[in-house]
Amino acid sequence: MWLQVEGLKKDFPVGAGLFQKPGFVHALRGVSFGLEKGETLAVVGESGCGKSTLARCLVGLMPVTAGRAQLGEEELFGKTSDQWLPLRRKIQMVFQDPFSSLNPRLTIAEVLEEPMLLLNSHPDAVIRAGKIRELLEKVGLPQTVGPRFPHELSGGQRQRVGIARALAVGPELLICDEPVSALDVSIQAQILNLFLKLQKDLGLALIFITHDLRVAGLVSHRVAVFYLGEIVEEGRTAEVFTNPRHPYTKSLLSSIPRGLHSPDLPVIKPLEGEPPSPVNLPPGCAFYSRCPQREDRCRENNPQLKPTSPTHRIACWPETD
Amino acid sequence: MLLDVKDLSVDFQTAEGVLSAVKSVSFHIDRGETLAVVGESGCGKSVLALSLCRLHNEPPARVHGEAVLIDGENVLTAGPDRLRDIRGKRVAYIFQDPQVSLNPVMRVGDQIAEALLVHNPALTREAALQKAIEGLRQVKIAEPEKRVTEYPHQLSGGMRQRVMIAMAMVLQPALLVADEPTTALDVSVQRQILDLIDEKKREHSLAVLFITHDLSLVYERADRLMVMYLGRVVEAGDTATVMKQPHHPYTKALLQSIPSLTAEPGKAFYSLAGEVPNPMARPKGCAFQNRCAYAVDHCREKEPPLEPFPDGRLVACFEVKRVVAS
Repeated sequence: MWLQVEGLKKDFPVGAGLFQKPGFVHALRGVSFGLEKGETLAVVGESGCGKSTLARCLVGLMPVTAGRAQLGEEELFGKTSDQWLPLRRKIQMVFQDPFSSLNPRLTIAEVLEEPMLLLNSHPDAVIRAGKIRELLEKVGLPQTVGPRFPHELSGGQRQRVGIARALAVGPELLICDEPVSALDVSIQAQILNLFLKLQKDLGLALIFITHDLRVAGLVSHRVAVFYLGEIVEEGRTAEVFTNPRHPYTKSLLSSIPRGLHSPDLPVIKPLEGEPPSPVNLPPGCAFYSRCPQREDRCRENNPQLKPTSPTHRIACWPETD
Repeated sequence: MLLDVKDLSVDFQTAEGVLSAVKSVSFHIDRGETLAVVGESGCGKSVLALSLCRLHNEPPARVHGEAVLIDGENVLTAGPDRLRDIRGKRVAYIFQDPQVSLNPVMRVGDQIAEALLVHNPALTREAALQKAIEGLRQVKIAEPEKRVTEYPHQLSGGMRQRVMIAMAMVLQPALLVADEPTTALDVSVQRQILDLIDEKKREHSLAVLFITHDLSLVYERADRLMVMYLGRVVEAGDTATVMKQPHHPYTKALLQSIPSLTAEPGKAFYSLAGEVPNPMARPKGCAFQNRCAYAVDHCREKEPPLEPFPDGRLVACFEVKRVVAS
């Protein structure tokens, strides 16, 4: 695999108050996956499952607790911020909220120029100006937005700027953290189509983080379903969505509103309760408390990912034994 | 008919001029019925919801029109005392983000009790708290005796929305206005909350005004729907009738913009070009013309009126025949 992540763990210390024992939020609890060049992996799960932490670890915005990751020949973790700089030409990120992720004091042209200056990817000012024009065109923005400020643009236009900024230094891997969640449906559709087009034109690899399974189904080749900091099911998107094996994936798919567009999945009883707190988790399967298929052994031993087909893995005792 | 809105408009006085957020909207809701109001940001759906109880600051807002009748009583001409009674007792609201709708420094039990005490001065505090506990039990919160003493930050997002529903329901309103009640919640919790609202609707023949941007929820939950664009209703009717064959190009585009789980991966799907125009610079003619695939010269001249069709729906479009045929 081109990108290989092994045993990624991230803990955040919490508590340690006057009457509280210090504890850890185990945001990522040993995550392993791979990604090929030009491939899209969707990372899906509910709030607090560790999807955004994963994004931040992969772009070096926070140190990891344990684990390793390789992109081509290059190690990603355990680097200082100086050592990270050359890697940023390869890995870029698109954020959820196009309102807070653009500097309000920079014009759009300056926003797009900044990464080129920081990484010294295009030393010549004339070339940079040409590159900015090219970027605006690539993401479908008129050239007239160049001298304007972020507050003058709509949400959809701002997200296009966020994407153009990520593309400025010519990355090979784009990590997108809920890039369409803040947008209206008709604008969301435009931006999703833009991602599909860019991937085709530029051969980008994407890690696409979303809570919306329908969005994941549309953009991704493979999907990884997260629950409380672990991958519980991973495989080819079509395979996972038409033949979900993990009880959590089944209930997630069943929670999708039955519209005119939903597939013929069996409607199962909705999940009760909410995910438990990720502080000091019990030893067994994290889904135990809500699982309709739970058995005694699930409380004692946390299941590991096991293949059910060459392109499909799940972490569940009752389903794999 | 529980709620009858006739030709309601809401304007806001701003520094740049008058912004018309809701323009001549008429609709009704019966007891035990769910009407969904669908549209994207800025279409006026939330402004419309708040104006039903005159919850805007007036000025800068100006709420005007023929009438907003709740059980025959006109909200537009009601005095402050009557309005206080209508708010809460007749019409209750739940909002998108329970985090900001709840008071962070007040125990949830006290917040529910407060609503009861304001409307029933004869009630004792103890009795109100008892009712609050009962209210929490009704929305299926485990250990309600313990939960009433907790603060909002101690509850999860889904639990907070249950508290909001409990608070709305303790006064036994006839109409529940749910403004994007599950947009901030996870999918598995979303279903629980919508099931709970449906259950209350059946138990109390509650009328529900369900405001959402998500058409796929509407199909499952609403009896009728009303699609808004830039402050006006563009299509309204029975949910199944409208969604199976939308007559307005905007309704059609919204439906096509919902990504399908079974789409062919990597294949581009339909998307509506352009964006909603600035409400301060409303175009002449139809507000949707700049994004519409069916627009003709006529649409740029005249605003299409909302007209009835044989199947009972209302549509504001000159080119319905072409939309349906394509």
